[in-house]
Amino acid sequence: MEPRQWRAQSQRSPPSSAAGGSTTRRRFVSTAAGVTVGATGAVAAQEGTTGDGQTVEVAVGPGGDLVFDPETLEIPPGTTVRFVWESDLHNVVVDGQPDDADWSGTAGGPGETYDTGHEHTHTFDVEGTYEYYCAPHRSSGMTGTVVVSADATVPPADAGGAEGDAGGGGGADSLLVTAVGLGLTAAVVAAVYRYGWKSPPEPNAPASPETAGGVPARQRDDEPELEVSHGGPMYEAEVPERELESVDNDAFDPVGTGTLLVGYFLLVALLWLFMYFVEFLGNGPEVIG
Amino acid sequence: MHVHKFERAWLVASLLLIVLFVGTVTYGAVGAGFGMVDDEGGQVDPDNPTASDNFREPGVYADADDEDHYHVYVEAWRFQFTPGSQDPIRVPAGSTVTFHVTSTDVLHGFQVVGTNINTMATPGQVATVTAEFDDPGEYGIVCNEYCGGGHHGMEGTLVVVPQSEYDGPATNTTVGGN
Amino acid sequence: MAHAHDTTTDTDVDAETEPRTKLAFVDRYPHAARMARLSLGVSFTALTIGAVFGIVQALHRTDVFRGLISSVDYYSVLTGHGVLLALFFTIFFLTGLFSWGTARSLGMDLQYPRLSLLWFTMMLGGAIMTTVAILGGLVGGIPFEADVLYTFYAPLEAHPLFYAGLAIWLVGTWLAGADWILAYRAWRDDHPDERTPLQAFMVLTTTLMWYIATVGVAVEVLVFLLPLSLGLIDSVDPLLTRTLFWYFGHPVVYFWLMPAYFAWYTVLPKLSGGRLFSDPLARIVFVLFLLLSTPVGFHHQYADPGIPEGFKFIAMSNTMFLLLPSFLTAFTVVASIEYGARRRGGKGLVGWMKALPWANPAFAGCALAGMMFAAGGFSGIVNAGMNINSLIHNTLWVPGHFHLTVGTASALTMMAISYWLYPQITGKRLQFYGLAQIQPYVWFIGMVLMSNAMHRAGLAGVPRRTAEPQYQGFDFAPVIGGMGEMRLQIALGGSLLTLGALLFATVMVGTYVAERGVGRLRVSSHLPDPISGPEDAPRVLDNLKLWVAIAVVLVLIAYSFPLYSMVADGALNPGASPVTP
Repeated sequence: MEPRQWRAQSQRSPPSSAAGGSTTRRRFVSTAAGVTVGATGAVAAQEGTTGDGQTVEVAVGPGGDLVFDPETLEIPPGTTVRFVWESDLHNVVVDGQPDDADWSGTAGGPGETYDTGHEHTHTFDVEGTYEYYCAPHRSSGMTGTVVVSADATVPPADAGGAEGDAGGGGGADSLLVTAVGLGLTAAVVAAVYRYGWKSPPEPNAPASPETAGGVPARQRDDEPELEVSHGGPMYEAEVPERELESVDNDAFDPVGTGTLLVGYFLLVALLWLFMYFVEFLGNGPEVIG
Repeated sequence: MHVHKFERAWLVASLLLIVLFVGTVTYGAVGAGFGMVDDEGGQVDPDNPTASDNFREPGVYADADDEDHYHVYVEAWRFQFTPGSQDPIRVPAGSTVTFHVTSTDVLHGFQVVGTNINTMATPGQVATVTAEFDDPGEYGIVCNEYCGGGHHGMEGTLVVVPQSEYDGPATNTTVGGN
Repeated sequence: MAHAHDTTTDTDVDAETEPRTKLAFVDRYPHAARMARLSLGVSFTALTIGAVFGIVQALHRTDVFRGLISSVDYYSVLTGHGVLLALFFTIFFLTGLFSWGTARSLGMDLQYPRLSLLWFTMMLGGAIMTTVAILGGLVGGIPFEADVLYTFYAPLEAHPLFYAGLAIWLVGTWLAGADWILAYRAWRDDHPDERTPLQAFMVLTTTLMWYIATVGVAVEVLVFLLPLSLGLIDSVDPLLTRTLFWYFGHPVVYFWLMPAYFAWYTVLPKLSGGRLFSDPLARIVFVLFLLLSTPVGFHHQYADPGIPEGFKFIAMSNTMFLLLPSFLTAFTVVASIEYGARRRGGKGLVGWMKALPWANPAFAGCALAGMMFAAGGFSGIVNAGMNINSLIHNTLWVPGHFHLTVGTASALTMMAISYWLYPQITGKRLQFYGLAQIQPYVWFIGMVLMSNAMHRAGLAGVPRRTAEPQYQGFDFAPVIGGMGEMRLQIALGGSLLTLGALLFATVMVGTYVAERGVGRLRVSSHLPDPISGPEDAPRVLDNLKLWVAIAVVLVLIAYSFPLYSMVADGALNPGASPVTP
């Protein structure tokens, strides 16, 4: 029978590479074979059939995340759990426990919180399920469970369900982000190949044929005057004739502009009245002061 | 200066639109009676708001003068509303409720989701918003001003119960008026 | 050193004495060209990083993908997105564009190369300091962080490096303004009676507006927040510091908008094949912004306690009048474009739009940006409406609004104008032209998707600046559409926007590494005369001292009493102790 690796307080595993956040997590080292312990119905840890003398750590608010890590803990009776604060403004409030258990959580009850570095320890002797939470962050999901059982199996390596919610299994998410990333990259690359080699049209050549790469269009023979540079000072395009003509001020009535603006005027006025009287004043309890 | 006749017409139209907007908003304030959050809530010590006359222990109170008027004193802090998050705020239908909101640490928001009850919770200041709740219903309360890493978990509930089911506020009276 | 300025200014080129081709800007005014290149380089880098942050946020917030960052780190990413895009991308672009426009319209290079390099170095150094502080929040275990968001409200506190960087950057922008003012003064000495060229006039009015506007945030950072973060003072009044921020926070949006208007008034008509409809009206618009941009800041504080309703009302009516210059701009710019369309053969009441050069990315980007601004303006009117603001305060409607305005009207115009301008300041021909052609459309479609969903979600009460807007105790009840569909549009739209930014970056990097000085540019910087020219504009418009005086008076009316009362009850009290996020 393979012994289960269970030295929680002396071992810390390196940060897990499971898809998840940037916080380091403590992990309980386990070997795959350890899972088979249930077959003998006895905790076959080398250290003994109870948790006497064993200490297990739970991180409170690691990296500022509103979680207990691990969120669920299964331990044999007699195990001591040490809660270690890794961020501020948390507490441990007991929500439910077996009938003759005596865990009271952190001192001061739900109203008293503690900061980074604080520790709370309790030895769990009575078998059963203990539920607890952090009072200020309960609505954010900062809850935890301790299951005390003589048949306790090794907590799963990914005990922290603390990947934020709906982070889900690592596999599906990595796949999704890889797909999005590849898709974006592919779109850019494809666009570069399809459109990239086009050059802007020459100002004096109507519908000039596209040139490949950055090769400049040759000067046409019938325009000997325009200066072209090769490594020296650069010249602009020729100014189009129509930009140099003088213009009659009164010749132009912007009827198209007028049409668009009439439409815009009506649209804005109507939308405003709708928003104000229907959406706003028609909304919910009336605010009067 | 030469101004094209279309331009003159558009200038007039623009001014008309602006007058429409200012006029509607003024109507909303004066005619429909929508009251803005302003300075009538007074100031408090952010570390101990209840020490001041402007604020009471968080909870629901009945108004001394008007039996259909309730006052709810809310403290916002990282990352809860008290009351609101642990226990829902309960008021009866058909009542007028004045919320007195402050913060004991950083800026928070206090919005009753889907309604126009939407104010800042500023340390040192008390924001007062009064609304009429005609019908029973349940509303969420959300903090909509960034306040730190737990901001997205800061929520609460407001329950408007039918009058027959209402047990009464936590404490009895408050000094009349605001 | 200034070289003998040529006589080509806004006025038309005299075909008899000037050749119809000119040296490109890069060789005509090498110093201004260098400042423009440096500024735009930093601007585009900030844009690219900020855009990548944007897609991370869009996917995280909509619960499409949350595996990249934790929800706590989301706020550092959001701070980076806001600061890099709304401060660094936009303002560095402005300094580049205005350096170009000043030299071009005055017909002379910037006068003091050392001053120019000083302001650029200060701006860049400050920007790097602030960015490092923000990025530090993403790296665990080091003491830097600045997840205070772009508005950095007290008592949230960032590392001192964040505030110090902002202060240095700000002083750099002041010196940039001085650089352009000194160029104008040198020109004025040689042209005592001439009307100020339009582009220089716009640069001057915008700069003066900036000086008035930044007083608030400079006081906030230097007097309160930097000492707070260094431990020199114990507490600050959150309401006072917030008010000082929003004193600045509204006019800053005009610092984003004025470069766009600068492009729409002076360059866009030429790109359309037309002419500016009216120079005097353009001047009036910029003067109105100088007068009205700052005394409206309380419209960002409608939901704040501690500010009397009367001052909120004054801010509301000032804001509504501030719509006027934008409405006037709509007329002038569209009329200028229509003139070009008609000359290109466009017919009909609306059919003329088909005749415009939609295949020219500089034109397309500016035109699409202008269209989007019309929509963004409407949601801004709702924001400004004092009481109706309560419907959408701090909801997702607000980012929906500003992604239309700064995110498209400004950003897309800046990208579009770069297609036209960057070759002129580098001497290199634009590369990957096909990418440039599709980029404005990709951006536009992405923004339509993302922004409409944000507006509707805001009406349902979904909050902004929230990493996980999915709550346990209640559900959001949208009026039109469903929450799932809105989240999908935000994720999809955001992805398209990032794609658009990457396309732009590809074109710019490709142009930057291309060979210089080969062939000739395909664009000319010549701007045709307006239909109604500066000689039609009343002289009083150019009297900037008068307008500054009136602007200051308006600011005093709007702000002196509220600020006085906030300070009188204790500048550090009601104090709140600093709290680290």
